[in-house]
This record gives sequence, C-alpha cells and structure tokens, in this order.
Amino acid sequence: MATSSTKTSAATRVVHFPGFLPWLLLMALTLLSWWLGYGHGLGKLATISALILAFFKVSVVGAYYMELRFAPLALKLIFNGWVVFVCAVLIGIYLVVH
Amino acid sequence: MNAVKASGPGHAPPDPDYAEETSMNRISQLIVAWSGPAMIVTFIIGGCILARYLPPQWSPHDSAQRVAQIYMDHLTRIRVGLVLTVIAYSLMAVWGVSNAVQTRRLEGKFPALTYLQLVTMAAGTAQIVVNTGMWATAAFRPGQVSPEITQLANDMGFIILLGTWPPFTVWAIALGLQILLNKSSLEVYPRWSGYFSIWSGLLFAPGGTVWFFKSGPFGWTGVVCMYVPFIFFGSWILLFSVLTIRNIRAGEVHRQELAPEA
Amino acid sequence: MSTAPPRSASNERVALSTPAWRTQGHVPGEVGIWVFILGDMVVFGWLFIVFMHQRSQHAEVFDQARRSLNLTLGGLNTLLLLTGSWFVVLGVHALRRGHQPAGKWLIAGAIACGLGFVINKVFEYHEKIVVGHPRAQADFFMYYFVLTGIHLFHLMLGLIVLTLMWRVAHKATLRPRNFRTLEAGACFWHLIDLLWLILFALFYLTSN
Repeated sequence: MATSSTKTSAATRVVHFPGFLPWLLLMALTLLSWWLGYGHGLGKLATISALILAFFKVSVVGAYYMELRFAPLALKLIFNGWVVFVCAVLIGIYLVVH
Repeated sequence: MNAVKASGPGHAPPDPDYAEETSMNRISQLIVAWSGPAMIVTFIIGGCILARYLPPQWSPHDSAQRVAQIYMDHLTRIRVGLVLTVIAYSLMAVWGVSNAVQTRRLEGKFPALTYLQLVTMAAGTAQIVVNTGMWATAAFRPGQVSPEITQLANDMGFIILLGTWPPFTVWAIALGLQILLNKSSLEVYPRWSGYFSIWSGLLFAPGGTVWFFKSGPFGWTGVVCMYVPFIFFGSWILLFSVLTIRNIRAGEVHRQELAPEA
Repeated sequence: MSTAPPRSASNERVALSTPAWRTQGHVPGEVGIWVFILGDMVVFGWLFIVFMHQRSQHAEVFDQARRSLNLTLGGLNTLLLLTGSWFVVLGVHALRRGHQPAGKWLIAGAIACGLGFVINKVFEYHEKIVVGHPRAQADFFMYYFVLTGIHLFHLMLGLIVLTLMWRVAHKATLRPRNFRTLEAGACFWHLIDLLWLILFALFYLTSN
C-alpha cells in the first residue's frame, strides 16, 4: 500500500485540535472584555457589552467544551435558557434600578 | 412441591422472601427511616411556629435589651418550642442511621464510608442539640440577668447552629460518595441522588458566613446563610427518606453485592 | 468454517461511524452530574442577581470599590481558567483516541492552570486584606469575598476531580464507565470556568 506523505504544517495541525477555535475565540473575547473594563468613555455601554460577552462565552463553553452540541435538546434548552435569563435580568437591573 | 413455611430440623428452609418481609430488620429500618419526616414535622412546629428561630425573630443587629425583651414577652412559647426542637434534632441521628444501613450493603467488612456517615451524624446531632440548649439557657432567666448575658446565649445558639456546618457537609458527601463509587450492579440509591447529596452538602457551607456578618444575605437573618442550608438540608432529608422507605418496602433490606460489575 | 458472523457492509459502516459521545442525544457524563451542575448554576445565578441588585442601589460606592481591584490579576485568572478548560477538552479527546501519554499530560496541564489560579487568588486576597478598604466599601467586599470564596472552594474541589481524572487516565484499558467519569469530571471543571467568566464581568468589569 503506497503511503502518501502528508506533511501538514504545524499550524494546520493545531487548528484541527479539538476545541482550538473555540479557545481562540474565548481568549480574544476575554481580551476584548478586559479592554472594556477600562471604560474608555463608553459608560454603561461598556458594562452591558462586557456582560453580554461574558454570557456568550458561557454559551460557547457549554456548546463546545461541555459538548452540549451533542446533548439532548432539553439539556441544551435549560442551559442556554439560564444563560439568556440571567443575562437579561442582570442587564435589566443594571439599567433600571437606582 | 409447595414451599413449606415451617422451620426447624428436617423441614425445608424458610422462604427467604417471607423472612425478609417480616423480619425485625425490615421493621426496624422502617422505623428509623420514618423518623426523617417525623423530625421535619416536629421541627416545624417547635422551631418555626413556637420558638421562632426560623425565620429568626432576633436579628444580629438587635440590641441586648431587645433580645432579652423578646424572650421575656414570649417565654412559654419559646420554651415549649425549644423542647420540641431538641426532640426533632435528636431524631436526626435516628433518621441518619436508615441511610447508613442501606449503604452499608455496598461495603464489606470494614465500611469506612458508612462509619464516616455514622460519626458525622452523631457529631452533628450533638452540636445542634447543645446549641438548642444555648437558647434554652437564654430563655431561663431573661430580665433577671444582664441583657448582655441573654444576648450572648442567644448569639451562641445561632453561631453554633449554622457555623458548625462541616460535619453535616462531610456526612452528605460521604453518603453521596458511597452512591457514586459503587461499582457493583446493585444500585442502592439512584446515581443522581449521589450527586444531589454532594451538592446539598456543599450548600450547607454558606452557613459558615454567620461568624462574619451581621446583616445582609450572609448574616443569620440572611437568605444565603440561614435559608439555603436549611432548605437544602430539609430537601435532602425528605429525598433520602423517600428513597430509603421505597427500598425497604421493595424488600431491599439485606441484599449485598460486593463484586464489581464485570 | 468461520463461526464469526459475516461482516456485512452495514456493519463496517456502523463500526466506523460516530462514536457514542458524538451522537446526538448523548448526555455528557451522566444525568446525575447535570443535576449538580444546573443546580449550582441556579444558585450562583441567583447570587449574581442579588449582587447586581445591591450594586444598583449603591452604584457609586460599589464602582469605587471595583476600581481598587486588581484587573490584571482578574484578567489573567480568566485566561488561565479558559486555557485549563481547553487542556481538559484536549486531554479527554486524546484518551478517547487512545493517546494515553498525551491525555495524562494535558490533564496535568489543566491542574497546573488551576493551581495558578489559586496562587493568583491568594496574592489578590492577601493584597486586599493587608491594604484594607474604606468602611463605606464594606458591602462590596462582603459580596466579593463570599462569592469568589465559594467559587474558590468549588475550584479546589475541581482540582480533586481533575486529579481523579488524571488517575483514571493511567488505566490500561478505559471502559465506558471510565469515560463517563472523565466526561462528568470535565463538565464539572467547565462549570467552574464558566462561573468565573461571570464573576469576572460582575466584579471587575461592571462600572457606571
């Protein structure tokens, strides 16, 4: 059986590591939120963005790391339902209560 | 040939199902298991309705005068409530034995986790029985002694009740571990109840904030400090009472299976 | 005459097709661990809401207190936990493919990330406690220490779970029961990661 030489570059191999792209996304979003933490004159928008980013990251962790992508629908709904609900309530309180 | 139910030399051995159905073991296990619900009912009447320390009628903020005044105003009610409370708390170890007996079936001659359950439930019971005595001491001579003394005894009751959560947490985790580490095909309790037990045990820990805070959610009037541990403790007792009674009714009283699943 | 059943074309396809963990409808780990995980999420979710409510009533003071937190350590901790979680994902995958040495090292790497978090936290707490804070900010720091403290407690339990997973990774043959343990343990670790993502946003990033 002839063996074909598959000289994939190191970069290509790393990209194919399970969970690499989600990890990259999560790290990038963390740096973005970290930057938002300094305010930069964005006021309330900075906080709201940081919160939404945080919950989005939670959703990514659930889908790709906890493998909820393959889980029964009920579990996906409960998990993501929590994400949406808590995020909405937190932002709601932040904006409304004084 | 029908099985003969007589025993004694020369007869067929007694039907094991019949033996299990009527044995003293089954009845004694049922009695201890039912002390769980009995404990909860007695506690609600004694601790919640009469003595009223759940929800607490004293706040950590109250002045010593106020604490003493509440004791003086409701002396009899509090004292009677405390008697029922101490009975309820004493039933806790009685109930705890029912779970230990069931999970004992999963361990061999040297059942470490069963022993751990027994010692921690004993320690926990001793603690909360004593702390009820603290409140009883506060209720002994309010008005005759300096209000600071009454306040001290009252504080001690709450501080010891909530702050000494570790034996309870270890107890719940030991029970949970016995369920989860079970490798045989005999399922004494469903696996999810093992996770629930460990989770409940962890949720007794916020009671520890009582030593640090006097207000907000982390003082003894606070939701996190007082209600979370009590709600989870109560749910945990009810859940395992139901599971244990179900087991005993189904005849699972003696059966052991120590070999791991092939 | 061969006693083995003839290998039909469909058998071959089944043998090569999706493994159990990739099939739709597979519960990661087992149902019981999700009782724990979802329950914890509900309790923490409610704690987050209580904090945000309190914050909204004392927004100025809470914001001042927030600014005295070490954002660098907080951000580093977030990156650390995310990387540790990724190591866990890689490790479990490696073990599924039979690459034991890789699996063991990756889980060890995740433990190292967790320990890094603990060390960071100790520095942060120490710095905060020694420097102290104005009495007005007492409420903020009450929530800060209790919530991050409970999280830290969970993380230390998570380190124990990772150690158990590391030991499972040493077994000669991994059976379905072992993979159940690995998946469940991994999900618990990811829970700790995701809770920190929110704690980071709430305490370090929420301003006025």
